Amino acid sequence: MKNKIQILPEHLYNKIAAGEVVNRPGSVVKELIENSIDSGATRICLIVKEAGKALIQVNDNGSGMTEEDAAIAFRRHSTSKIKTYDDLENILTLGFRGEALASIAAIAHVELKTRISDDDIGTLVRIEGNDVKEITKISSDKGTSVAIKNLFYNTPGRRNFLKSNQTEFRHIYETFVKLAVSNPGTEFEFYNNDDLLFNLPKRSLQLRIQDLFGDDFGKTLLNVENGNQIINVKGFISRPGFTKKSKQDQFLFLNGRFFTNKSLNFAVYSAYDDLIEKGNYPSFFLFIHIDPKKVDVNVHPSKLEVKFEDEGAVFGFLRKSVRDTLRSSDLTFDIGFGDSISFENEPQNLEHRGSHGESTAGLIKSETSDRAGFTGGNTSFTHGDSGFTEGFRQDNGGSRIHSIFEASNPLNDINIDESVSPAEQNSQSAIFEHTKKDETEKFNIWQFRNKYVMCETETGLMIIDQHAAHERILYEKAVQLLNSHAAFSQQLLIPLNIKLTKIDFHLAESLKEELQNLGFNFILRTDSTLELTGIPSDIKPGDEHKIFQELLDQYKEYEVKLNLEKRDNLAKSFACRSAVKAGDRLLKQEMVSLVDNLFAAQMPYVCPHGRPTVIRITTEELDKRFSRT
Amino acid sequence: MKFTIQRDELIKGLQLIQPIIISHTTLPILYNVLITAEKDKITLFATDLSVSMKCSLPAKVNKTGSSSFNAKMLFNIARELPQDSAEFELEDKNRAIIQCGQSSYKLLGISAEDFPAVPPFTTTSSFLIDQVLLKDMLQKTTYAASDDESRLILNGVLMSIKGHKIIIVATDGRRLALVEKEVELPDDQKIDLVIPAKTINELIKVLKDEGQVKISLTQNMASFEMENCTIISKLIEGVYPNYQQVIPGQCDERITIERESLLGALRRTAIISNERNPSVKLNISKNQIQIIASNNDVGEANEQIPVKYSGKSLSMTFNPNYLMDPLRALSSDDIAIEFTDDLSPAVVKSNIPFIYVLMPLRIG
Repeated sequence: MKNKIQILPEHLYNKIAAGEVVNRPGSVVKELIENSIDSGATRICLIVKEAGKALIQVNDNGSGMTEEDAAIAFRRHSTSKIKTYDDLENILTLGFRGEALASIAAIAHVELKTRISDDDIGTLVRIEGNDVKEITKISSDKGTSVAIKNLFYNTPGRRNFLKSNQTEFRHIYETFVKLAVSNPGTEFEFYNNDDLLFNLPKRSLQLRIQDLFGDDFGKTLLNVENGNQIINVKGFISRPGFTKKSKQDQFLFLNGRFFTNKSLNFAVYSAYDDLIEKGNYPSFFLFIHIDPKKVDVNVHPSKLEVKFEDEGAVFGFLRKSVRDTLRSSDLTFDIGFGDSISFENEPQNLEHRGSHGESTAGLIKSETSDRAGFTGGNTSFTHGDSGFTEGFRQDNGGSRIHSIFEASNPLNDINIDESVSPAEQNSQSAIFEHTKKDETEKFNIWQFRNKYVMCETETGLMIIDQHAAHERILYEKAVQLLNSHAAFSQQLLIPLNIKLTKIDFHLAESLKEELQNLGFNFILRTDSTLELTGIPSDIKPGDEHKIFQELLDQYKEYEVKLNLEKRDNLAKSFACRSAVKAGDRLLKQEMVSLVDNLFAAQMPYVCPHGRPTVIRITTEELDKRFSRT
Repeated sequence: MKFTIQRDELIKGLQLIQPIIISHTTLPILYNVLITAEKDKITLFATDLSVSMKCSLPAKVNKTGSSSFNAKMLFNIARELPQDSAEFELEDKNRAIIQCGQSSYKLLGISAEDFPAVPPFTTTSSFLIDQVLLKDMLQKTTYAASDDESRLILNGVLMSIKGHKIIIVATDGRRLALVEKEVELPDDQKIDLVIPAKTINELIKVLKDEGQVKISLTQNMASFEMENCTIISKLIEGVYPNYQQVIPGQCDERITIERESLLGALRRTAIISNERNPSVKLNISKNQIQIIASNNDVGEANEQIPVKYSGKSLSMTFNPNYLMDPLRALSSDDIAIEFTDDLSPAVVKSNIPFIYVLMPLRIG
């Protein structure tokens, strides 16, 4: 009988594998630029035509290849990045699987020019569908240049699956942005259909972000930095008030590699707590560095997903780092009249650089006007309309605020050992000095339209929204009060039996102590049945089962501290109802008390719904406005 | 249909049936009250399809007949009628004219044929009880029933009849009230029925301090017939929890205390306690009960009640509302509290015999 099973010829399995690594022009861009970075390049130039369908070219000034290397570079599992299994355990380069070039070569026309610095003359390799058509010596610059033409020419199925040029270009653009952000020390150029879109010099991370997203956006960011021997994180997060309705512009990098992880994204959101409104999301650029042994990046060919040895710990660490940054920053909304380039310029710049009449100019414009959302006009905090440009101060203040926060929220941090970070020990910043009672009296304070409290400070003028500010004060009080009663558990005369899934049953078992702290007493019966013998005394009869299940689900999804959301909502609605309203007339003593109490709050800058409570205009800004400087 | 009725009678009748009318329904005729005129009386009938109520009012009937009208509107009209007596006449099937002195109303109704019929009721057994006795028993227990719709059976009140004894039990899973009485029943009956709290609350309003109520039962319904008024109710199906199991057989300690002074002390201390999450602590020691309520944000309240007690000292924490409920419902001068420790149920007793079991709050 004839044998049926055969080993596939190489050109066929390369084509198959190409589907995993290379599924659109954007992924070719990713592979090529990563190779350039791994080769030690300090300048990288990306050229794209027709959204990569016609041409993707990446030129770099990296180490280059010898003729021999160049000849085998397109063979599967040929790589310079790892040699042994041990190397695989310690991956620090972006690529390592040795699949990219082979996969790309299988489905496109490839032209590779390369020269190492020791040689005077370089090598040209031309490949079509994995067949080497030409290897010749040519004169070329040091480094490597790879041009990919006619992508998917021999896999019509894949080619037909490509989306419109706009969509494919967006993917390339996003890929480029991720790589440019994660390598601020590398110069980048990006040409689209001969238009120069970006020319990014070597920069600090913050300036690189500004180059990419606009100066104003850069100024809305807070610096995050935290670390220990095992893990550290650096990067930037948005200020509350500059959050967006979409989950765009959220970048997590692990050891320099972009990756996605829902749970870690949530770690960042949850650190904002009540600083942002429900449905709004912060932007962030966070670089996590962790011992490569503690993660597995080889989960997926495109390496978008990673596996952590202890994801819970990373979650806790990230959350704490972001939270510390938020707590130790002065989040007052400054109104500046600064002469910084307003964001509207950016699309113009791009247009200006590009040639006219090309579809890409419009495309980039729409890209960037999307971005304008967070840099002015479209944010929930819109001073853009009034012609003001918002500027922000980055001073680290509020240690007093912080210490109150720490002390009064023991329940908040059950899971994670959160030691006090150096940022928290900063001395008190100038803005809080006036809050001492005797000093407040010295400053002028008056009410504007029975709605805003205007207060003179050492550095300028503070405008306080009386309702939002009072809401914040009452909310914090209410939360404290509700949680101080949290320990009461109404014991049940007739225990409630709750049937759980096996997983939930074990989860409940492992969380027994925490659940008890919230007021749930229970006995674990066999057969996945749990007998509730006591429930938090403030929950409504009939809700017990639902709330218990919600807590378990909450934990399963995010592995976060257990928290009765109901209590938080209760505190919010109490605060909103009881606070003074816009239109209420306040006497001087009331205004002084409002300001004092506001700055004694844990988070004075935003109301419980995430809206600002205080806006500041500095004396300097006023001076500038009146041309006094 | 044409009749003349005393305004006050009409108000009284409409007031009684008002709670039966549900506030939101997709069946608009349930907003109506069915009026039927016969011989020398009219009958008002309202239903929410699980509880129905019928009451008769004296009237001078010229022409028999029936139709239905919006109960709330009719009640509002009746209350404002300028004279003592009003004439009610049906112009055609569903339009009535109410004439009272100088004022008259034309009221649109829905024809009587469209009104949901009284469900057929074939009595399987029936007995008579003194109204005053039943009312008293219900008042002492019903407050402990649950209003949590997820445990439907606890929304009802258990009426258990065994031989010559009638036991009424209500519980919401946190506390339980039970009262027991000897009654004269014709023959040995053993019946358990769970009556919805809505029915009971209506019944308490209708029961008088004299006369008897005839309770008739079918498979899943009960009717309570009084002189001018009948309530027919569906029963809650299912098995009522075994209440005997949760009543502690023997407690270690017992204190006898004046009901009014304990209630007063609880009322005064509870003012301080957190409104949403109330708690009071009872410190029991030799010849004294100390009641403390504290609230981080407000302050503390403290009361001492001298008692005769020589047992062990201990502290128990309770939801003050749960502790005050039975004290309000009872009328005896003294009550007894029995207890064992801070996590076991406490029992309030009165010599009716009345038993109230309450679970404490656990701290931390």
